[in-house]
Amino acid sequence: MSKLLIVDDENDIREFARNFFKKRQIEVLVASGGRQALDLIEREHPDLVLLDVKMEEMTGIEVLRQLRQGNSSVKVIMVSGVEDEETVNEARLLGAIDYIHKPFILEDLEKIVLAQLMV
Amino acid sequence: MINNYFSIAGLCIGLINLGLALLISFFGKNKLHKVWSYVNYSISFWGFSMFVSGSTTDHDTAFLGWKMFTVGIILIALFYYHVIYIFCNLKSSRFLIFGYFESLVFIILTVFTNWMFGDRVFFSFHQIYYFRTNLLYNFFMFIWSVIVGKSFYELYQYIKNSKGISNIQAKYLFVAMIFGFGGGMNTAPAAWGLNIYPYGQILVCVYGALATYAIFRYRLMDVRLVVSNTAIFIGVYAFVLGIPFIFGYKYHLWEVAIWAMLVLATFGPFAYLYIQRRAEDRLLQEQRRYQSTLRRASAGMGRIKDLNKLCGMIVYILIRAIQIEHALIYIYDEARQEYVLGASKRKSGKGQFIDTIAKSSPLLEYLLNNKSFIVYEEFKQRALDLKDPLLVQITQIIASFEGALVVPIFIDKNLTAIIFMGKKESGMSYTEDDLAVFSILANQAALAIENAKFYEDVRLTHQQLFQAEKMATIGTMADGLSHQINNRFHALGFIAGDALDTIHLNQNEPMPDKMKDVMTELERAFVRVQENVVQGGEIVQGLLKYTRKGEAGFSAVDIQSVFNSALEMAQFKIKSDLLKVVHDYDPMTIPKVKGNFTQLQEVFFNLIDNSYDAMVQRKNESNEPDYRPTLMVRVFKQDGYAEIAFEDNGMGVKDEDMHKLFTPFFTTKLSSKRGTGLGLYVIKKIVEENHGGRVEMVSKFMQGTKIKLFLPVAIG
Repeated sequence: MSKLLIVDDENDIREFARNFFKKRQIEVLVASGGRQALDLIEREHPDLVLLDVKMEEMTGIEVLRQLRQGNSSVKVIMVSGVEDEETVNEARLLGAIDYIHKPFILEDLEKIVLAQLMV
Repeated sequence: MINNYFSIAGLCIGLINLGLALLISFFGKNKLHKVWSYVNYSISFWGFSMFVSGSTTDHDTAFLGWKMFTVGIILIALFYYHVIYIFCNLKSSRFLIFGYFESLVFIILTVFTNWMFGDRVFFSFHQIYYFRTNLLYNFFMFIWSVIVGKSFYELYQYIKNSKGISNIQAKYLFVAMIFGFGGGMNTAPAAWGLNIYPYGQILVCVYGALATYAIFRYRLMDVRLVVSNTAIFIGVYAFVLGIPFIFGYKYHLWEVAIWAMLVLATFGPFAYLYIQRRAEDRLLQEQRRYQSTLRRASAGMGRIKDLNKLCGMIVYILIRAIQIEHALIYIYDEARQEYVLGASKRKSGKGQFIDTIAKSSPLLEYLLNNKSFIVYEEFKQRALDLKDPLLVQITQIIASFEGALVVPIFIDKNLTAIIFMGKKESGMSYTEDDLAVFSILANQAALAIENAKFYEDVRLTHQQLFQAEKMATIGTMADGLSHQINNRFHALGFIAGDALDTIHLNQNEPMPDKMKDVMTELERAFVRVQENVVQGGEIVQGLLKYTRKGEAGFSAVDIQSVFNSALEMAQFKIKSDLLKVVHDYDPMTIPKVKGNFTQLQEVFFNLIDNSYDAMVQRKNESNEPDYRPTLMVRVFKQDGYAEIAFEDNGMGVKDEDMHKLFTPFFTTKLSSKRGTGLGLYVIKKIVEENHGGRVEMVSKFMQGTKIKLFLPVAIG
């Protein structure tokens, strides 16, 4: 069973995304902040991470940078509300495989996630 | 008996009027002046004739003198009428021709025959060989009186029907004629055998002086003043010299009398000045009153900071204090390069004045060159005298403002404002004293206007900066808000999506029909929610795009992003085929700077915009076929600062304008697409005050401009 980690400081997002993917036979892990996410990635080795960029404790870009510094090559999809070239560039440089903009609907996310998990 | 009053007075008249006549011939400009000089030559001749006949004991010489005397009075009346003919613009020259003919006849009779005189002269008043008139002479006197009478009559009509300065001139002439002919007529009774000594003949001197003054001095003193001053002068000297004279005459103590005359004559001028001042005070009470009002008002003007209010006040004061029909003020507007109506007010009547006066108006050029007030009547007269088409044109311009007086207001060499003042309601003309007070008013007004303009500038600049900062704040706020709203939409989308998913997964389970309907309805509802989420997200994205990432306060800003978004802002104006932008740096290696994205974007936009305008101007003006507008952008890192250099090959800036570039509202751009003139000022403020950076500029006229921004590099 594939493992998907959803990192978002919004409670509703974590809860409903988990519900949604559970129904598709995907094991869903959730983290409400950067530290917890790094911790879970190290322990659980998820196949894919959905990483929110704008978070209180630590930004998604920061999390991604630390991951790469710790030599983790986990697949990461960035999720952000802002079309910010600067951040997009940085994420791409740090090897994020995609960058999707909020808000989007679950069906679209499903396609992207399934495509990555199938590979 | 040589030294008698009659001959001495005659000599005085002769000399004074000869002097006047020469002066007038020398300074006179037109035909009126020329004929006026003839009048004075005639009077002079007449005066000398009395000296001749009054001072001789020889019958024949006296007889010659009286012939000269007669020729004199013939010519005086003739030329006098000619003056009136020109002055009053009389239509018919028939009477004038008659006058010349008649004069010729009588002169011939006088010179070549003795028909007009009795055959001898009579020793009269124990001192003079006086002539007697005969029938022919009396007939001549009758015709002479008709000519003089007609002159009086025409002048009187003219006074009734004219206005302004020529009216006052006419009044002078009239008064002068009363003195002159009144004085001259004193010589008549004795010629009719009456025992009346011609004491009054000396008044002719006064007449010449008065009338000459009237004709020559365009800007006149009040006519009442001249009359009163003359009267006072005569009164004082009649007293000062007369009393000792009578004393000496009566008691034959001539030595004492002469000493007394000398002493009293020394005090004469003081007495004269004292009485004159008192008389003036009375006569000019009204004028003094408003002049002091104006002086006080002038002092208060500097306190008014609003330009419009100031204009309104100036106009109001003028109308109220001087009691003039109307007043208007035009203020120079740097941005529009023309004079704009600041305020206008009419006491009564209607009629609008034009809103603007072009800088190229001949009136303005005249004011700039002459820097003095224009008294309309005087100016008009001069324009007519000189027949100068430019002056005539200016006269017409002033007339279109119904201006009786034009007061230019200067600051240094710049004509800052122009005031047009209408006629005084009293019909009086503007006096020298008035003009002196107005020049104080003009100076004060100049300072007040400068002051108000300065305040206006400062206010505008503050407003502009405040606006820029407000926009940045709103941007920052909107940015934070839209993140929040976006997240809410996002969560809503997920909730709806998951619910929809649950419905889809369970749609085929067995359930009652009613439940199926409910499921369908819920499905539709959640689909609508999702659609609304997507639409709402688009709106938020639009908002974010508009506010352009106003990161809260300051953050590490990517120079390339700022440049791109500024270029995007400029797109609406810039035709990209006209401009080649060259980056001389690698976007991936340049440092980020510590700054506010929105404000820096404003700075970059202004620089691109300025460069673009300068290059287009050069392209249009310079006629260089190979000219290729290029904007070069370079970025270097240097001692903790990023140096961002914008170098264009546009018009450049003239050396004399360089120091003004960073002052608010200065612009070198063409008037058709002139900027606000705030660009560089705002750039400097933003870079130096808000970012702790520096702006440097190098520019060569017709070569280009290079502006360097130094911004602190972001740490980390």
